[in-house]
Amino acid sequence: MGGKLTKVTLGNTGLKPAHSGEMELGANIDFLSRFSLDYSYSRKNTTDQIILVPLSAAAGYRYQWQNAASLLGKTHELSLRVILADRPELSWQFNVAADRTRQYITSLNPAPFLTGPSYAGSTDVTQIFRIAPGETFGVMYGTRIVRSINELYDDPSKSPACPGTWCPDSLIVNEDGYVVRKSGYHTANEKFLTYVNKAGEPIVKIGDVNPDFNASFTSNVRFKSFTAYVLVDWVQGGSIYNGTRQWPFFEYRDRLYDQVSRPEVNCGGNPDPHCPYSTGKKPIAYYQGLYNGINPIDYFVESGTYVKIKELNVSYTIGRGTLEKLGWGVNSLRIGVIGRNLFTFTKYSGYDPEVAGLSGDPYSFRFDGFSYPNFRTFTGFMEINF
Amino acid sequence: MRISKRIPEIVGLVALVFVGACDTLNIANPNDPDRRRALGDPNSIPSVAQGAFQTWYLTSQGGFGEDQYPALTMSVMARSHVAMWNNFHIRYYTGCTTAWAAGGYPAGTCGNLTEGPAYPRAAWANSLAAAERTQIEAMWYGYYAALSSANDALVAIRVKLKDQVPGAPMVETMATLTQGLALSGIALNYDQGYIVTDSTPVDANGLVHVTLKPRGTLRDTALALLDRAIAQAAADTFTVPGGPWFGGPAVDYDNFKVARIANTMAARLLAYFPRDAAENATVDWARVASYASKGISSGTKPFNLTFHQDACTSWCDFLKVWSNDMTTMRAHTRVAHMMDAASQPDPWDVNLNHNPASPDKRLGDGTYRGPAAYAASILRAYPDTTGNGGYDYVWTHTKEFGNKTRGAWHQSAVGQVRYDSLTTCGDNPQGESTGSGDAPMVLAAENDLIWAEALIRGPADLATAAALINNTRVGPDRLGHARGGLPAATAGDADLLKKLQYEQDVELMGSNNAPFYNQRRIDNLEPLTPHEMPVPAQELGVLKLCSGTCYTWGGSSPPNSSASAPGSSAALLMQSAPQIWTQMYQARQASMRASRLLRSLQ
Repeated sequence: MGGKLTKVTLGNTGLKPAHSGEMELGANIDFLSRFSLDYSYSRKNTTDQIILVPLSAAAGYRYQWQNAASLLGKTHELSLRVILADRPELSWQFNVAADRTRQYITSLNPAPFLTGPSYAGSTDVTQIFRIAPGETFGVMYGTRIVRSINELYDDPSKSPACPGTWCPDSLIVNEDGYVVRKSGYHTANEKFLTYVNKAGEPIVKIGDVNPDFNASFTSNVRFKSFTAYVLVDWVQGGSIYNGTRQWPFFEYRDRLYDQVSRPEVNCGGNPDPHCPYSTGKKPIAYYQGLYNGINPIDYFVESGTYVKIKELNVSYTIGRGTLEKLGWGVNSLRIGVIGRNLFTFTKYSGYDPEVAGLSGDPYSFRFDGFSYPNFRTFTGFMEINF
Repeated sequence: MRISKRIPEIVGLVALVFVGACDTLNIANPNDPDRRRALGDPNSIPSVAQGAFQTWYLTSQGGFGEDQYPALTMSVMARSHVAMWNNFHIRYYTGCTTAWAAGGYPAGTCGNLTEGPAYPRAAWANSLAAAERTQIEAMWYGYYAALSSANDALVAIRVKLKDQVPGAPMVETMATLTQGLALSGIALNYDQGYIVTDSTPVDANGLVHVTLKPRGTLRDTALALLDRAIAQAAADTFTVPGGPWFGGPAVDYDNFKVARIANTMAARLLAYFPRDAAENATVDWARVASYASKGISSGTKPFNLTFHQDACTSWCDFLKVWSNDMTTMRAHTRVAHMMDAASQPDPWDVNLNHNPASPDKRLGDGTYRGPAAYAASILRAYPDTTGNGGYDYVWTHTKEFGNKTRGAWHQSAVGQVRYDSLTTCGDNPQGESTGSGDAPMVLAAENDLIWAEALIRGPADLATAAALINNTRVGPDRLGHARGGLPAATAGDADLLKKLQYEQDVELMGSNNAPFYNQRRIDNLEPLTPHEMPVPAQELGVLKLCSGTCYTWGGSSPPNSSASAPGSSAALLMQSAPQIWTQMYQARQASMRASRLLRSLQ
């Protein structure tokens, strides 16, 4: 800092490589002359995993890289290649590749901790990913909104006894599917309740970034002088935290505040401050509760499923015979166009579900934090062979 | 792997793959000096000590930037400055109260509720998952990083390298001073902490074996270290060069000034330590007076403890950068009202607010003494055409700023321009325009006011106390600057203490955390406001004392750990922590012994 020494990360002369033992099982089947199927399964045990762990302030340093964890990774991979046509004027190949990976933390020397990422110019503010024994690598922890009255009583401090503060008769599930107090329902005081688990912890698991599986489809087609190539990516499942959407909630910048779909109410001349909310429109404070002090909350955990036409490449080749007639002295001429990131099919509400890890998170778990979406590009090309 | 067509249809193959790697990561990198070499080179020790001192400064004044810095938040918690933003989690931690008779607000401090719904003050969010936790981490890790580096320098000077270190007496004194300052920072802000000095045993990995101690013990240890720095400064003759230590060549201090700085900081620690009025009554004010009488405002050449800024290129006084930007923060209506009750209502009411006519020349008529164009375009204030413009404060005709729906109590029409930054950032006393001026961190006036309070609350010398108060109440101050121009206080004033507290609010705003400490020790923080910080959740996680939401102060918990408001969870923590830490230490030692044994067998 300012050219002076400031302690941050303590060196570790005892650091050693992580050791991995991997078992892989694989099979290949070729059949009917046109099909080829591959499958493999790997199980990888990693000990002495190197991770950045927090230190006590007494050490003078914040962090140290240590051989502090053991991981178990399981991966399934499947690929299928199909030759649909293989004639002089027409050839067509179709390939599918899919995989599923899970990594589990089997042991951890330091106490469980939360980490990363940094986004929107803030370092070390939002900590959402939990590193703990028994957890999957990539689980998200945060606040969860209560959606059924029964789960409210997981909180050891809340009793369903009637009469009582948390008697079920005093609660209702509102239009958003959130449990609120009946006394505040359809008033200026309406607020959703947040979950506390049986251990009394208000910060609970709200998602997992790991997809159920990834798959990619590629196809090559050639018909006479035309060729086409298409790549389609499919990511099924897994969660994305939409931090980009959460941040502007503080400034009331979200379509949710608009509430145009909610029934209008005419409060002209009605002095009751709760009147504007009597038909189900929510007060601003209700939705600003979702900002949650920029702390993780499950409202912004969304399905990361998407199908994306990643690339489409179409070209036409003008052969030597035609070109000789033109007298250009060219053997062949190929012209075409490549489109990338053409269409995305998803229910994800952000710009692009194809997000990666951000700085401040040494584990690079995917997180939507003001990263640029993948641009849709079109590229024309001409290939000349002399 | 691939099976040929000679094996028809369904065939499987099992493969077992072993992956190996070199069993070492010890690759020499001569361009990347490690800790052992850095601390083994006598010529690097002054830099280590400078890094420690500057880490203390940046931790105190927010030079590390980002959103971790708590002093701006604490300034608004003290209702010294005000802001409606949530940067630094200011808004989260600075709610209002709808009824607080003890604070003189029978209708509450929230003001006009059509400008945002009220919400109460919040506890420190001491949870690993809470973004707001960063406000209680910054000083904890910052001060301990400073302390650790100071310890490294002192171990090198006192044990390992001794006279080989260039300028050893000066470096040793400054490192000792840094130890005292860093521990003071923990004692002033946290309920407990570690005491780690150069005499604390360190293991082969640089880790120390310590336990959490109560804040009173931290204070006493910090005072002992400041006493030691005072003694060392008196025993040697040296000059601390401003460039490497205080950011600029014009800011250097000889050994006598270093001793006076240490005396002032010791007086501050004793005076600001109380968490409430009950503790304030137990302060050893005679000792405070003794320190302050030898502090930076004493003698023939008073001075401010000043650091040169570099426009935030590598460091700056973030407290002043933000608090003296009228588009970002303003003076709280509590203080504005004190300077001119007729024009500055408290709580906020836009309809009753108008241009001031304060008898205090630090506000004056609220016009701006600097360039008229700047007043018009940035401050939205009127330029001074009569000589009655405020020295330190300006009234803006854009009475409200920012998002009004965030709460009327976050509004104010008066801003502080004493340390105004005209272009980029950094302190610009009296209108310097480059963002690279000399920023006072502790004013000579602060020493005067602590000294005066000691002479009022302790062994009485009211005449001297009044004279010290008048240095700023009337002016000129110890450095010759025009100040309040108010009628002089006298020893016979029944409200002499109140006049002193007025000076604490008006004169010390924006210099450091003094307004927060001064408000908490007279029970004038809003209800539910935390008066001190808990050990951060991340630290408790390392100690395996807490894995989620940890104990805290404020909100529904007691405001602090004083005897009048004990915290049972904290008491339990105090008992458990040493045992846990010892277990961790012993486990690590066992692991190291096993590793050494294995290596010897190879």
